[in-house]
Amino acid sequence: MIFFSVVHNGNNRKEIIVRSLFFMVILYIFSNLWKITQFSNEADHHLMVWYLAVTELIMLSVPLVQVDIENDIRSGDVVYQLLKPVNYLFLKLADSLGALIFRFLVLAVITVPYCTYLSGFTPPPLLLAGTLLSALIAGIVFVIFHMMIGLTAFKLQDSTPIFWVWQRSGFLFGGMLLPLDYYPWYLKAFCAFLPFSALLYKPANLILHFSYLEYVSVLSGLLFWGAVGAICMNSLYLSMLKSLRVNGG
Amino acid sequence: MGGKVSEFRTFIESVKTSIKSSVSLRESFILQSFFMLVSNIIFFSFWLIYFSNFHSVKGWTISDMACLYGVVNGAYGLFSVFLGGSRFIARMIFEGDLDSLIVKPKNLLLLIVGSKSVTSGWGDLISSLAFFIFSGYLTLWNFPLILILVATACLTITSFSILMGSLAFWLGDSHVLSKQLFEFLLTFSNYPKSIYVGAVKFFLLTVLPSGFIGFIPIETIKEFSISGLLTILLFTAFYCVLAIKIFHIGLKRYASGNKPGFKV
Repeated sequence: MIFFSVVHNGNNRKEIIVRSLFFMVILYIFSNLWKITQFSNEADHHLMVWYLAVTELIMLSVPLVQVDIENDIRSGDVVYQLLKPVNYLFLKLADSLGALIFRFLVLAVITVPYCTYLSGFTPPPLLLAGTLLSALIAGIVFVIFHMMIGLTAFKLQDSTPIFWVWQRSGFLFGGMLLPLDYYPWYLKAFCAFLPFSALLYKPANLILHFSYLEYVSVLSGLLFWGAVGAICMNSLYLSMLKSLRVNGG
Repeated sequence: MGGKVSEFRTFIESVKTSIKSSVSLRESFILQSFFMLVSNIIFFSFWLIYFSNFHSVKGWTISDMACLYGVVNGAYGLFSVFLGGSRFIARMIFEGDLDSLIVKPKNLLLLIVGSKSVTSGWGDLISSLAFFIFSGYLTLWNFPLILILVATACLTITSFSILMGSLAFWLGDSHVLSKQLFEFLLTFSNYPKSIYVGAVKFFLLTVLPSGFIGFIPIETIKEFSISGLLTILLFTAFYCVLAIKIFHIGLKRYASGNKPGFKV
């Protein structure tokens, strides 16, 4: 199913071209901003371009699956989808993972030469591969959280406000544009309790400060938040099924 | 002259109706405006953190950035609330929705532009005021200049939106492209002038006029420059005329969608 979703997304060329252009524009703007920023260390400029590339790569690869789920719930289609001999959540997850993998691969292929051009530097291949792998896993955890947000539509009718809070919080508390090391200490301490730093800052920060110990810590963080997201998503799904059985859909 | 006044009155009535319609869903109105306000503040927080680490971006300080956000958000807010219909031109052309408007004995472009009001624009307007107050640039002396520059930036955004929407006359289903080019216009206008150099800067002052929405108005406010103001006024007038001309050239190619429908 994931493979079919990858192929399906591959046919939607217009969407991926537009997405790639947007990705390149953002990287261009911030590469110029870092160029004229007076860092204490000259090498920071190159690394900041790569840091932003990784955070943007994660954010722009994740499909907005919560919109699909919300539409299914609001239109009542979810009832027909539940009749299929496949779990509804697995169906949505497979579809989203296909979209995620396709977008991630295309943007990653653009990232390497484009960031090399913008920064004049390429990280060692092993470090780059390790960072990209953790970024892809972060994308998968994002998908789980988006699905969870979509399922809230069953109780709230409209999940958009929750998604907005989630997205904007990711931007600020995840250190999407600027690593959390530049934040005031109290804000950085607060961010450590939220999932956003594990999903954005930590995977992207591997480009700046890589060590095997740090890598294990990043993967453990992703696993932890992935599990938290999956448990919450499943309990929301079960409560939705229970209500459908009681009320007859 | 009487005809023009009547056209303008119709436009005002149309805008009033659109605003009433968007405000009528009270909860959605409050929620969308509030979230837009929060969203703008979160985006601005990046610059607060940036300037707490680095002193300036080639002469631009946090006050200048707040003023930039004030102009861009104010212009976009005005555009969304009062001229929001122009965002939907490409879709209206492609889906044949101009059929019901084209038969009316009124200015078609004004009818389209005033046909929709986007609720979240109110959040932009409130945040614009907050950013201006924060910047310290909002004084009695500067107030008329700021108002003029927000209005010219709004007209530039509207003209660009009309131009991009008009692409549908030639390209057909181009609303994704129009929407994305429009996003680029706003994205580029949210950053300081010193980021852009050479050909890109020229591009942002001509093809994609982000410079006239963002950094040129700020430089004009900072220096209280009359020549800057005249340049902006001339450019805005030229760009508005260009957008109207292109729309009308494209309109000759419009073919009805033959879409059955019902309009009151």
